[in-house]
Amino acid sequence: MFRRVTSTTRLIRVLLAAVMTVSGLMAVQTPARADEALVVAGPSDPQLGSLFAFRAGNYPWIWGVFEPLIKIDEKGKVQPNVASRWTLSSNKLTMTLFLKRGITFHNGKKLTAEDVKYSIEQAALATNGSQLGFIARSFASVDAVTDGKLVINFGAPTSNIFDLLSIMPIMPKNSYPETKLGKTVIGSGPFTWESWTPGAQVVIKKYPKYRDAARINLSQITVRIITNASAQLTALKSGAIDLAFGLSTVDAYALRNDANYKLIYAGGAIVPLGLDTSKAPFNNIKVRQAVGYAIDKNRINKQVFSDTGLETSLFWAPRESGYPKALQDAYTYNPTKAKALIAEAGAAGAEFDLQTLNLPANAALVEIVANNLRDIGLKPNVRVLDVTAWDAKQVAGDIANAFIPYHGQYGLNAATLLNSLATLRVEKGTTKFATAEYVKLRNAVAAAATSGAKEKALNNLSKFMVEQAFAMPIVMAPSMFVHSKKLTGVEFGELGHTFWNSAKLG
Amino acid sequence: MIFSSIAVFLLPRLAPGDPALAIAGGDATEEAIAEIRETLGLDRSLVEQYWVWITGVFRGDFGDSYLYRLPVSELISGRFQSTIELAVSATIFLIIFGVGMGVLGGTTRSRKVKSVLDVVVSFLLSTPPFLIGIVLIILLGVVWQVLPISGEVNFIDDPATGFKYLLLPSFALSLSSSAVVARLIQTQMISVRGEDFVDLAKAKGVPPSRIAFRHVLRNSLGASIVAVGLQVGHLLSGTIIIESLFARNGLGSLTINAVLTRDYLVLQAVVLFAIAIAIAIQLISEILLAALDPRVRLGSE
Repeated sequence: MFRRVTSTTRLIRVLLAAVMTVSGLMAVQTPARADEALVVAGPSDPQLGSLFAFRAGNYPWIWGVFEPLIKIDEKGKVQPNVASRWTLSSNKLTMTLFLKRGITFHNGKKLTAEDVKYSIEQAALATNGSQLGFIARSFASVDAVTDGKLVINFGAPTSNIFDLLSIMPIMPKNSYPETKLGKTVIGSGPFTWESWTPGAQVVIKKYPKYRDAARINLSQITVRIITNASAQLTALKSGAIDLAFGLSTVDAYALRNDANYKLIYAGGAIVPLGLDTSKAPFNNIKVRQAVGYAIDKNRINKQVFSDTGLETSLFWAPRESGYPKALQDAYTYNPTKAKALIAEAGAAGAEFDLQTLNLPANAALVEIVANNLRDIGLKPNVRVLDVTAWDAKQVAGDIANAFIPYHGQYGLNAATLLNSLATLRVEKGTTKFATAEYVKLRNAVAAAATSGAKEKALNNLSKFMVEQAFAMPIVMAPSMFVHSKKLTGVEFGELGHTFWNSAKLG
Repeated sequence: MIFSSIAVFLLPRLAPGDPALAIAGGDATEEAIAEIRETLGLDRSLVEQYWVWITGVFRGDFGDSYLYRLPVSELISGRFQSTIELAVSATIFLIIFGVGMGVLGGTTRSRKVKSVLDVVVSFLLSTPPFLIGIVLIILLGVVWQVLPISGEVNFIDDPATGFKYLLLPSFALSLSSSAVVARLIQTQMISVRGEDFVDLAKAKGVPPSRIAFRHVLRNSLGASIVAVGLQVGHLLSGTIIIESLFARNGLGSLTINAVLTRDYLVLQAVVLFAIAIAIAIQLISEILLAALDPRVRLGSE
């Protein structure tokens, strides 16, 4: 006996067949990766025109293809790299660098002092956008004495010279115009630039003629461009990548106890609150100090940075020589004191703009800061700008009455930060704070030639900055990177750049 | 057309900042930015910039991306395939699920099936694609690693793997749109079932399946074709989020990046391209509608 098949039943059967077909396709395997071919996720495309600047898109690959003269390890100690050793004259005005022998670029050309000189000249060019270009521009002269010896004459003692030497890629003389266009990207690192598909990936391959080639374990590194932090997390969890460079703090921190992953802290950002001292209400020092006491750094650290940040009143890293630790907690949360200062200044009810840039951490913490300021009787109008709009204001040196930038230069020398951070700069500085006393104290830090002089100068400057309260760090937030446990030997530089020389896939 | 091109040219320039700033970064000096601006030709007058661009467009030259320093046409063509693969596969799923659920809802007499369908369709209507995408990623990519959730493989080079990479993003993109189409077809079919010609067919003893597909469905599809056309537009705009979520290198991610970095020439070309696609979809919908319904066929009275 036959049962009548209705149109509904038929339709359900067709849908079931479709589902089964799809299920069958699920069995298809993804293409296998070659052994020792690493896939990592980068947060943005490479910026070949900005190799001398701090750009997150360059961090995953730059020290695979290029090499710096020296490295600064996680303890802040200077290590040789392309430069095997260096000497500093007794008056601290001349540095002689000796280059390692036998280094060749990927085009086969020998790396010489002329190439290093050319690279310093490129770092000095304002159009190349190096935040540390001011150090190179301050050199009185750079001379390639022999192929392996370079002499730098400083105009004045330059205590932050190693900051520049550790972030400056060495490239063949006259090669940068071609590199900027992506036509030829030639360095001397353990990997050669193979290809770049904009928006998709960068591939670098092991350089077989590298001086230490036998010790390089990885055959290839593919840097997939994954701009969305959530997409990076799911790619890591699904095994599509082995290292994520762009996870959010919360996501990265959540993986700290996962047996399959390793959380790395490297580099970081200074997140301060800057105040425009040329406009009311922050042209009044009491209002500025009140703001310092009004901010609940502990809450911000816990809610925005998973309690991984350093709550501090100083811009310098604790490892900085001469670090004035006693001033670290100069401003702690004290709304009662803040209210009293506001009353004293007669600034209750003062309305002003509070702006920040559209990065996840900043967009989150600006609301807490605004609430803290409302609690003491001020009236901030919050505005979050996209990064390019923010940059336009920062370059012009005029952001808003109050503003929260994000400076990804945590750990650099104090003398460097004083010039590289727009918040601390005197010329076109966003706080417009440029008193004679401030200039004098800054210059003393830059000129300090001994550790004793540095300690004294940094202490004096820090005291002055805390008292004047024109720019106050909220949190020093570490950068976090997560990689699978099968990846070992990855070395991170002080700013979060990656060195792949010892990396290995288990 | 001239006004459209002027609008396309001017709108990106209304946002603060420019490509020179995006290249130099926020720590650069004004002098350095001015120098970059000059190199890129951004120091010329807007009229001159527009003329250079529009005459290039007529020659098929959309200029070079300020950020990537590559021809815009090369950048777009490199990503076009990815977005089209996603949009086409999502449209296929949209039609399969939309028509499937709509016909099932419009023909079944079972109350249970109707209720279940109503719940499913209402749920999908209220769930945005990105949320469906996240759920699919967590379930099928992280908890049970059965399908890839990150990246893509060229469908032409390797159809099986390429399809596998397309499945989840296509599902995520199409499901809520398919619910719109399903609800429309279901409502139309129920309405058409009350028409006199259906009663006549029943009285003449025409089998129910023939009535459902030949008479009811055919007369219910007109509105859904227009709806599918409109939903394809939604799908294309939805690719921006879905591509980002599934780390696909399509036009969506290129567009977002161009907006953020003020890469004007890329943005202008993408907007022109989107306008062309919208016109093409509208035309196709109209032609299909005319083919299906003699009353709207061109030339008929």
